[in-house]
Amino acid sequence: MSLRAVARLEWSIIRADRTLYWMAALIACVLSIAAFSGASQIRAKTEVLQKLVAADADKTERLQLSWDQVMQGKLRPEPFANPTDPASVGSGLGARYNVLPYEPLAFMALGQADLYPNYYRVTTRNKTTFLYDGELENPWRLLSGAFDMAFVLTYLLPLLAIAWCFQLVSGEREQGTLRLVLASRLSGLQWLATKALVRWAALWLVVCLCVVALVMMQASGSIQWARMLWVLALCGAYLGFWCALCAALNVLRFTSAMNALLLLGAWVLLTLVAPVVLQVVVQWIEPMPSRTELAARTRLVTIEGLRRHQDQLQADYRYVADPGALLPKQGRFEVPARRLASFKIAQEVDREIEALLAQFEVQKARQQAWVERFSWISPAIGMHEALTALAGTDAARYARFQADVAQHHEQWKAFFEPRMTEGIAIQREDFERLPQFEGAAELARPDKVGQASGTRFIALVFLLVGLAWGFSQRNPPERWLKARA
Amino acid sequence: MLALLALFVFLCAISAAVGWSEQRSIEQERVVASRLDYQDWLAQAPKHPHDAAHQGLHVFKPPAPLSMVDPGLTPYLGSTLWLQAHRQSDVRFRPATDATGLKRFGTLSVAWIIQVLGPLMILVMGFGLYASEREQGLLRQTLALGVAPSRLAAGKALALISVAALLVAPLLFAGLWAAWNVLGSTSQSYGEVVLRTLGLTGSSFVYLLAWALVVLAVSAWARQARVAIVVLLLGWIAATIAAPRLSADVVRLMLPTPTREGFTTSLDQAMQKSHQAAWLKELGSSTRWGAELPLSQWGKALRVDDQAGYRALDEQFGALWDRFEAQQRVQQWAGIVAPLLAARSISMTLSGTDFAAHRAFAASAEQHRRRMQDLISHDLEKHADARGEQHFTYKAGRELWAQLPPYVPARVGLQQSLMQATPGLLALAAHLGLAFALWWVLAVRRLTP
Repeated sequence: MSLRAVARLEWSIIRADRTLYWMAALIACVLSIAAFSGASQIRAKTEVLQKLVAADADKTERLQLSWDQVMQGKLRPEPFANPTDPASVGSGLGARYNVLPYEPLAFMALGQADLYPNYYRVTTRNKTTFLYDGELENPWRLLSGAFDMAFVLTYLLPLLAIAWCFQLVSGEREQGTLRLVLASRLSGLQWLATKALVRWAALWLVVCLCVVALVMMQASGSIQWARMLWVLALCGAYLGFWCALCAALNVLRFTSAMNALLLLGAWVLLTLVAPVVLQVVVQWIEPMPSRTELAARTRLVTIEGLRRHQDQLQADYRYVADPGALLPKQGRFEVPARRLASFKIAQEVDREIEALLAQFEVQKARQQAWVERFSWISPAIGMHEALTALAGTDAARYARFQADVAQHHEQWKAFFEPRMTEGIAIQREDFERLPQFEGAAELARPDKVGQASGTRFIALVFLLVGLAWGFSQRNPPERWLKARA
Repeated sequence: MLALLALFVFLCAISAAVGWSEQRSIEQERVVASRLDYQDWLAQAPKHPHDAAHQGLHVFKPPAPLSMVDPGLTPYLGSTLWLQAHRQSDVRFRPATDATGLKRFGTLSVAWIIQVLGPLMILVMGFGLYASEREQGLLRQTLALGVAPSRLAAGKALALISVAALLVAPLLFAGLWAAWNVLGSTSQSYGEVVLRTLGLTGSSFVYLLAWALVVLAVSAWARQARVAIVVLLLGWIAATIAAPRLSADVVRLMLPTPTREGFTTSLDQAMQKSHQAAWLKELGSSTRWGAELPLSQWGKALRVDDQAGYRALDEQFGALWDRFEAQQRVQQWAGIVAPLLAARSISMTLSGTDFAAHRAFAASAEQHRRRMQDLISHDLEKHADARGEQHFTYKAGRELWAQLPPYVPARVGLQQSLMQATPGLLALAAHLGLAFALWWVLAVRRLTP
């Protein structure tokens, strides 16, 4: 029997027993539920972002209008919402949202999107007051995780591969057809590899069709084909690992039930246990600084600031005695001393705790580096990290977004600092000159992500092929007819 | 099998050790930070009391003694609150945001191991108890010898139940270790931790017992061992891996969670409405902190403003937290079919790491903030308002700061925890009833050789 004949025979067996159809229906059904769930969440989140962007869009016009009305004496400015006062504009009146739009494939892998917000409102207040707010979400749901396509592809797809390939040899032996197969001129390993390859190809084809169809139906915006092709390639390589594992185990002559058990044990170890253990190890090697210490340091800096600016804080609100104090005079505006002191204290807090905050980022980056270094111990880690990176919802991208926001925060403060300290009133054209957020939290390059994880999976497949060959030296095909006791 | 058991115990030991070490360092830091924070509050130089409120206080949530066996929702909830003037703070610095994306795979803990891997151990040890014997013809021989199916079922059940008891043993030991190491004055007492541990162990045992009965029933029904293992594995994957995620997403569709932006807007509107009404009624002005407010009424305005906000804060935060609890309750009831949901809820409630414990902390911290705010506004009203235009020259000293006692975190008592756990307990009991019925029908009444 030639390799082609084995492949044809395997394909006719697959078609005859109809398992593939059931499996295809199951994959389509589960992936559809996951895609619907992910898409509905991303749609709701996108609507929020659109609302924020729309609200910000006409802000300049509204502020200019109220500035005109104040200057023409048609509107009496409020002490804490005065469009001519740099302190009011910088601390909230003119504040705009820094927004990170969701990528079209975000619905596939929600990743960290339910933990981190995709928007921050930047003001002149210190960054601990806004940059560490999480998205509002039920902690129970965060603990459970999302039922998205990344979950199905990372956790459930290997189980289907196991169900599909766990009895490549043992099934033939238990049905009594193995003797016939081994009598052909093909070597046992070639026969096994062909069978595994056909089954892998059939399963991958089903996954590809489902993923492409769902992406075309659910993706928001234009489809990022390069990213999607990498997703498909990764699915193929990931499936390849699990099919190769099944084939390698089948060489060891266990019964089908034992194969199923051992493969499930491998799945539990690689998919459930290894990631949580690696997380513990990484935290132990690169511990994060203490958040309690950060709170204590923030408090101490605030106390020191309150002490240092005590005189300014004592000043009264002059506008009560002199309502004209709320209006600029010849382009000058004397910012109330209390507000100026609050701004300076916020500046000092930012400056003093910068080093400590940077330590958090450094430690997190180090932890991530360890995860990348050791992700080969579990293909599930590589698959999940790659899918979230391709979807733009990975932890690294949110860290880049926070860094961009922090940078914009500095620009925002730098714009207002001279105006506040030198008493320069906000001019009409200043509203158009307000610093714009230009951070894009660059997406991970798809080829880089795909190659990193794909290479690992393929290396693991080769390792398993080598193992299968090694096993076959001790368990030559002529002994496959008898199950291991 | 012994190797599997050894791996199970090893993982439990490692996770208990890691949990204990983390809990100890967090508690030590918390005790020191709380003390220093209050000392700083008392040691403030004389200043305008409102500035003292801007300095505020930090309060820290004490880790529950049993968080070392079940951290529950802790990684997704912060433990630090900055109590400041004007507005209720949200808890910050969720530990999950200080971790890599791997955190989303789960948190290694004794409870997680028992809830997720425990049923798998039962399944591996029990799937062939009937099915393999049937395949080998041993079951026919046994029944032919006159052994009653009920006696056979009882014997096999006893064997598998013993395994379940063995599997929950690490939880009992870890819980007792936690009780032995009860730290800090605000933690639960030794006796309470022991009782909680017994409850936790008991409910985990019931959870595994239900799994044991289901495994026996499927094994008794299946003609072949491989059918039994495939059916059971599918059930395990559906109930422990897929169900928590799927149910969380379904509940989100049924009872949506507001976005942070939506919540903030709603809170702002409610506060504005409440403030406007109060300012108009008490101060004769519709504008908050407007130019027409005389400084001789600044302290009074602060009191009016704060107290008007309390109701809006209670309503808005109450509605949000009620929504979280309603979402959780639906999932607790889903525990009838997916027992992990019920077991997890009971476990975190008895461990004091559930949302109710967090809510109690956040609510008590807010009460403390209000106490600080009321103290300050009353003092300003009494002493600073009288100075008229010189209002902001007033400075208070240690006598005022000392009137605010140190913060004592709220505790959720055992009785309250049991009340919280009731839906989960009922769901687990219902699931056990279903499992028992299945076992009775398939392994006792309709057992065929």
